[in-house]
Amino acid sequence: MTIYQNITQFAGKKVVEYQKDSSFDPETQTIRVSVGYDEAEDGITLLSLITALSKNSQASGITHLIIGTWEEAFENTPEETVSFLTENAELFPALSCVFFGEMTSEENEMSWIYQVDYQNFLKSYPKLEHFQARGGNDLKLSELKSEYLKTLIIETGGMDQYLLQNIIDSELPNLEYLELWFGEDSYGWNGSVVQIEKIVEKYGNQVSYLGLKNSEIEDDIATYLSENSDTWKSVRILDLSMGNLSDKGAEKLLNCPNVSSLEYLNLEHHYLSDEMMTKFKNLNIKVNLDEQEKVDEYDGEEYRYISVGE
Amino acid sequence: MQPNKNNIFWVVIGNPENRRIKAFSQSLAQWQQSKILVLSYLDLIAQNNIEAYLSSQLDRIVGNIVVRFESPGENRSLERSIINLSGIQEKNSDDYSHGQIVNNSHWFQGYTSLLNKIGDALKVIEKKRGKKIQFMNPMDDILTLFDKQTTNQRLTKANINTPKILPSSCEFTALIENMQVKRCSKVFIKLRYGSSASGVAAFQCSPKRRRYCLTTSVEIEKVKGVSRYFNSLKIRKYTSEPKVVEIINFLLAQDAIVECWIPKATHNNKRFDLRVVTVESEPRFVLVRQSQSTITNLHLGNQRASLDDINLTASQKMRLNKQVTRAANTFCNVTTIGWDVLLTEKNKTPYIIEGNAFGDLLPNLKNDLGSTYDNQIHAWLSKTLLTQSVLNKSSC
Repeated sequence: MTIYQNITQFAGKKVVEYQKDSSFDPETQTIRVSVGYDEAEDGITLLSLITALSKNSQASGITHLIIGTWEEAFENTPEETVSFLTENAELFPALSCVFFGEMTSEENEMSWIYQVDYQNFLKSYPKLEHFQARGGNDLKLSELKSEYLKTLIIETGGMDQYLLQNIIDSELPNLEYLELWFGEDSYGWNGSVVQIEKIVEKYGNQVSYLGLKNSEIEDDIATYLSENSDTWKSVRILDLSMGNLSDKGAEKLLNCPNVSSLEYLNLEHHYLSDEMMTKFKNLNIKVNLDEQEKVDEYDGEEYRYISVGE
Repeated sequence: MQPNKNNIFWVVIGNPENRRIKAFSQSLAQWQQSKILVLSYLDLIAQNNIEAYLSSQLDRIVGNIVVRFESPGENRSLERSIINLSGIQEKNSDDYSHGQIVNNSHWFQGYTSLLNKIGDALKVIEKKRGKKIQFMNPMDDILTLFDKQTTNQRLTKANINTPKILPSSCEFTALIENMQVKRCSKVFIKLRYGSSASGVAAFQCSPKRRRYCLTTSVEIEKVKGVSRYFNSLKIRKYTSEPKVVEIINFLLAQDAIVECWIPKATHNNKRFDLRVVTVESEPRFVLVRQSQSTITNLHLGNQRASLDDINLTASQKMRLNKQVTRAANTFCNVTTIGWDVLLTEKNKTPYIIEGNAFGDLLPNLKNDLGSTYDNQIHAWLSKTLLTQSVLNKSSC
């Protein structure tokens, strides 16, 4: 499930693309700022668009902001724009939901997005409720502390252990929704299941949605969760989709008491056998078992691909 | 009164067994055109004296001759004969396995020489007849359209949006340098001549970060240490440097062009580009080609949709029509061209990728006038009715 399309809804508001000199309604709309190919050719930069947006009379009302692709995103980071937003936080006093790097795989594959440390940005916007970023290269959330943050979504094709540590060290007492795409080692995943365990121990009894997704160690994650059901008692929705879950991890989940009381279990994109799928269908909860994948054999080795690496 | 309408003699040069000729003939019949002569490329090549042969075929014709060249594709023995015409002796041209990628500049030279011979012969015949022979698709334009580089230059010169083409590179390191100089980190590598997806590769690199990714249908097969390169139906990604370098070096050695990769617009979770068919420089048909892969080509199992499906605004549609019309006007003597056009994601700005001289085989597409063939025939019949003497076509 490579990302083929830009999102049209973000945190409850319809997305509109920001065009210079065009009007928008921050009450009901998410403003998306991105640099089109033809614009980049004409020398337009993300910074120039964000600067223009900041001068718009509606800027102070913007609550939802998406940063899409920027010029030469496969080489450049959005650093200048993030700094501008950081240094000019008074121009966007209402900002509460942000998404950095919302681009299609045609514009730039996830593993080619280069990010920055959002430490200062997050400090400048202490009332942010929703933070989302796509692309794991160089992405950092140092000293992540917030009383307000409810939603944290990090989408990567390969998450660095440094970022995992940032999340382990974070202080987010009001976090309700935690979604992490771990990715695979050929695209930068170098974390460990132990780190994931620490994250669950930290937030598992606090969040209602827990997404530990797009992982090549999905069986290990499922095994840990099954054997430590006391660490994630508040979770109503468990999302282990996009990864390489097989019967091995799934069998354990079946026997986990927490699972049978979930509202929703998302296992979309998995390697479960038909028999195992039947067992899940017989659970008395809503389970997503779409995208049953087939193991790929190549040169005598078995591969279970995750959904988004590249 | 329709004095001239029934006075056209249609001479079609192609592969007589091909569905294109059948479709065109059927269309002619629909427009009450019964005078048609189909000549085979292979027969023409077999002649020692093309002029004598053509004279014998055309001698009896009294009306106005309109010549139509058809695609020389889909016939392997013709393909081989054309390559042989280039004068370049391929030591193993008969050994090529199906799907193997061969340097098509030899084919292009052969086709050029064939069209030139036919053209020269027709000039002599025209003189003898004292009556102008007309062409639905003049030979020089066909050849230009078969050459992606020259077409791109012509379009660029006319200020039409088209992807930049990088200076030619002979091997990988030079390519990386050129990409850096032109600030172009994503490129398409395509064989210079021809129009199929054969030998197409999408290449992305970050020299700063030493990362490479090549997406292509090209596959390497090693037999006794010798690499052979095939088009497969599956698109693969290569990221290991040695493989990437090997495939790129192979393609560059086949007269490949390197063009900046403009990200395509997406709709319904698929990338898409457009095939726009112009008739008399006017966009008449649009086909949306959707693909999950970077390489959008009808041969590779992709899906079609219609223009209405992609929700363009009126002004975006107008911009598209304008660009394509302008592109077609740079080939104003060609009755029909199939343009490959992409739209950018954010602003849906159209870019003309290439024009296909034989891009009109779209059997299921119909407008008010009928098929792509009906449109062309109608255009010629209207012209004939409008101008009693069609001796001089205006030049571009």
